[in-house]
Amino acid sequence: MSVTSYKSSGTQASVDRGILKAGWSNPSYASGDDGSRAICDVGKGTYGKWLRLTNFGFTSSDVPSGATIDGIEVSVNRQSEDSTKISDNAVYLRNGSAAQAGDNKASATGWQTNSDEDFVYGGAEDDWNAGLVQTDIVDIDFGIDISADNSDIGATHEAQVDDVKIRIYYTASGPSIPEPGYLNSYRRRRAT
Amino acid sequence: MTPPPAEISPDKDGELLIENKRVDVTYIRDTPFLECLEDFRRINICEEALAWSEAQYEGNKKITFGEAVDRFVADHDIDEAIARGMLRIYDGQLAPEIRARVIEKISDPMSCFRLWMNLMNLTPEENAILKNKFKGKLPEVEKKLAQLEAERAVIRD
Repeated sequence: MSVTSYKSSGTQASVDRGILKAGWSNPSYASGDDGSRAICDVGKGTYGKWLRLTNFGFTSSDVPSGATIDGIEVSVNRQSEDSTKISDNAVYLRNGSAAQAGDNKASATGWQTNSDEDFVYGGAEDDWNAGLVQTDIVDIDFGIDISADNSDIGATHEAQVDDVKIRIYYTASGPSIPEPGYLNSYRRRRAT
Repeated sequence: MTPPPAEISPDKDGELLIENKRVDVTYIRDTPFLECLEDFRRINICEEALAWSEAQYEGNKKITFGEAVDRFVADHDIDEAIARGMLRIYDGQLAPEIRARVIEKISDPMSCFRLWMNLMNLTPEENAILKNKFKGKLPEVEKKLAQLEAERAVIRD
C-alpha cells in the first residue's frame, strides 16, 4: 500500500443546510495551517451550515490511474469556544459527482477549547464506505463537508477551522509485464 | 468506577432557561397556548421560536398547546432545532402525546443522539424512537457507545 502526502483544499465555501443555520465566515481561511480560521457561530441547540472544502489537487502522479483506494484520512485542525458545547454534527466525504458519499463520520467528541487540535477521521484501511475510485480522488469536486453542532440551548458558540488536510492510501494496479524480447522476434519471424 | 468518556457525557447547558421556566405545570394538549407563550417570553427563548409562537397566538387566541404543536410539526418553514430546544427545556413537563409529536419533527441524527443522551424522562417507546433515528447513521458515535456498554458490562460482572 502507498500513501500520498497531505493536501489542503483549493476551494472553500459556506453552503446552506436547512432553515436559518449559521454560516461560516471567511471559509477560505480553512485552508493552510496559518492561524487564520473559518468561523461558524453555531445557533442555540442546533447545527451550522456546511463548510465545504473541495479541489484538493490530487493528480494521477499522486494516485495512479487504476489504483484501488484503500483508505482516506482527513485531518481537521480546529478549535471551539467551549468543548463541552461544540462537537461535530455531520462529516461527509464528497465524490467526483459533487455529492456526499459514504459514512457520516461525525464524532460526539467536543472540539478543544481555544487551542488548535488535529482531529483525524478515517485512516489507512478506512474507505468511509464511500465507494470512491481514483477518478473521484483526482476530480475537482472531491472533498469534504463539515457541520458543527452546538448542544447549548442557551447561547451560541463558535466553531473554528484552521486547516483541513487529506491524504489517500492506495494500492497501484499491477504493472503490465512485457513479454521477453525473444518471443516477439519469434512471432515476427512466424508472421513473415 | 471509570467515569463515562467525555465525548458521551450529558450536556450541561441552557441552565438559565431551565432555571427560569415555570415548573408547577405539565403541558398537555388542552393547555391554553397562551400559558406556554407567557413562559416562552419569561425565559426568553430564541427569537425565531418566539416570533412563530406569537404569530400562532395572534392568529387564534383560543389555540391550545396541542393545536400549536400540530401546526409546528406540519410547518416545513420552521427549524426542527426548536423541537430539540423545547424537549431539552421542558422534558418531563410535556405530556407524552405532546412529546411524541415534537419528537416526530426531528430528523437530524446528531440531534436525536443528543436528546437520547440528555432527556431524563424518556419512556421506553421514546427511547426506542430516538435511538432508531440515529442508529446506523452515526457509526463513530455508535462505536463509542458500544465500547462504553462493554466497559459497563465488565464493571458489573
